[in-house]
Amino acid sequence: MEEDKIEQFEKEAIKIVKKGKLRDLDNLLDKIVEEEKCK
Amino acid sequence: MQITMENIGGITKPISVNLKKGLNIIKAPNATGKTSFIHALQTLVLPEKELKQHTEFLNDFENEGIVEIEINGRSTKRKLIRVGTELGVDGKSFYNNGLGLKASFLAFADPENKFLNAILRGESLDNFFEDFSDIKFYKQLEVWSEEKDYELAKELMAYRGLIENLEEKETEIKKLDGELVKLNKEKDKIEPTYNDLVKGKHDKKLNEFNKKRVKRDDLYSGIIQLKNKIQENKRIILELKDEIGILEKEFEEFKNDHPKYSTEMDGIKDKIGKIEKLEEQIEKEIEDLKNQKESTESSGEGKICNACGRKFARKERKKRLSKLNKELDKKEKEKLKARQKREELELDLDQLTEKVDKIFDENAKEIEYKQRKLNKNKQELDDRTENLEKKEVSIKVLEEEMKELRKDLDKRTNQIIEDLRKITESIGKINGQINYCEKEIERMEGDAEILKELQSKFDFIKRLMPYIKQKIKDMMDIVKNKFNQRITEVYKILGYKDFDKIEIDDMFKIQVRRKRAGRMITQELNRLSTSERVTIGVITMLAGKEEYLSDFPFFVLDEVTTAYDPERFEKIINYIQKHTPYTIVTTFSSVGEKIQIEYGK
Repeated sequence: MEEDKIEQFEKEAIKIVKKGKLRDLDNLLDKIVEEEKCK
Repeated sequence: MQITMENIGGITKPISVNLKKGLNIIKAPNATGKTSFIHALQTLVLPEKELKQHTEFLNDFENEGIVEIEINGRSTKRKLIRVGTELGVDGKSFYNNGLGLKASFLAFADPENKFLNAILRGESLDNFFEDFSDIKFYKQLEVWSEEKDYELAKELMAYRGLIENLEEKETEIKKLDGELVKLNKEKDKIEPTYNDLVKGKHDKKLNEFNKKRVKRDDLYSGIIQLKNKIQENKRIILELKDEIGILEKEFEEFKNDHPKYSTEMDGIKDKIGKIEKLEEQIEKEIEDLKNQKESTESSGEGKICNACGRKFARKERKKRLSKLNKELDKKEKEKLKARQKREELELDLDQLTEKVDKIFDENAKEIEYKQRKLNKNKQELDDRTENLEKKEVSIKVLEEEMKELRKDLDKRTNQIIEDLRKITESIGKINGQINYCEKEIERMEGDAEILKELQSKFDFIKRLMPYIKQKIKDMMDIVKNKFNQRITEVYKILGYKDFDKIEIDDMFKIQVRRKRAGRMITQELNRLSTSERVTIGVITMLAGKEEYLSDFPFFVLDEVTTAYDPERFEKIINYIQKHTPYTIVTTFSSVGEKIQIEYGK
């Protein structure tokens, strides 16, 4: 389950990095950690 | 495939080159346009960002160069435009724009190819490998995660400091609660006796004393509350002072550690300055041309031209006017382009200035907000301290009056009053301490929640970092293995026997294994002859092209690479022809003055 979240983060983060919007990675981290907490 | 070019490198007049499927040998003496032809092909392939760096692709004396390709019934045109000292690009790459850089590394075996040069120098190819897959994006993610890890560790440390006394406070409050229960029990024992005395004896003095006592007790609980609030004010003031100090320090660091903004702004200002000078120059030239035109128009036939000193003839006058008009048009266009570029740069400068101002403004606003909060707390502290002093004076007065009244009361009553006073005072103090502890615990619990959030993020980043590191390593290994597999295949097909194995090692450098005096030895590429290195370099490029750009329609071998070991290169050229529709080889020719093309030899 933990690895799923890392892979989900990786997948979404690479899309963000490709768009050059590195600042959005902070929001993604908040979102993934929040989701992980709820599980 | 047809390539048409104009004003590219040394080629000024429009040239159209027909390339046929198979081998195309571009023959020409030195300095007749072979390199310019390669530059024209690169103009069609490179992504805009990289192409803009090649100002040398455009002829030094022209402002616009054009390259057009017609392939498989599709035509693509790309323009190079001089804008001041820079190069502008109009039109897209004929090949997939995202793969253009890869194509320039893997399909152009010319002396300017950075990938080929890195192989020839025996350098690590890791930086290039990052371009062959998504590795560069993972590297950016790796840098971000390392920065986040550092940032979160710093925040965690700060929050841990804020809640480190939580357990201590919880123990303290339990102890205080215990004491309070004990004191209340004692009070419960004495209070009924006192109440009986007050009610029963109808003693006027005792009644008066009791009224003052109630008033004093009210004042006393007010004092306890005030003291707690004062304590809270003091804590907030200290915190705000710290926060303001940190903000001011960060602000200072921003100013010191970010000279890149001012450098970038200076760079733009410098470019604007240069364009302004260029505009002035063009303006002068336009003025000069207008004068010449006016002079030509006003000069009659047979008269002498003021500008060139020649006699005017009707035909010549017309020709000259037409030439001047054309030059004027050209200069007006240059003026317009320079103005547009300057305006673009001015916009960039405005945006950057706004961004920097915003950072300054936001920081200044936050400092101002915290300063206001600090001042408010200081004012509250002063007011509460003044109020406390007043209440303490009132208590003193009341206690003096109570002392006087007690003189008229009997010994037993006095003892009860004294016992009750002591207990009430202690209860008050303990209640105050409990109140303060509760507030501290409440604040710490809030901080503990934040700490929990931070810890979750920190733990996630700690798991993410090795995952990304491993992913990068795996991806690099995949690229390396793909290259190695292809290199071995290509090498075998070419039938060379010089080496037993060629491979990219873990440091991403090319190594060769060969037999020497019956022993197998490993050699780095920089130990080999230039001819051997060039051969291996081209083989590596071919291996990469096969793997990553199998549909790219041409492969270029410049004369410098083909000059070594013709036997080897014949084999290579034959191999390329089987795998790529158009093989383009440039070679030196001492015959003729122009570029000639030979097909399929």
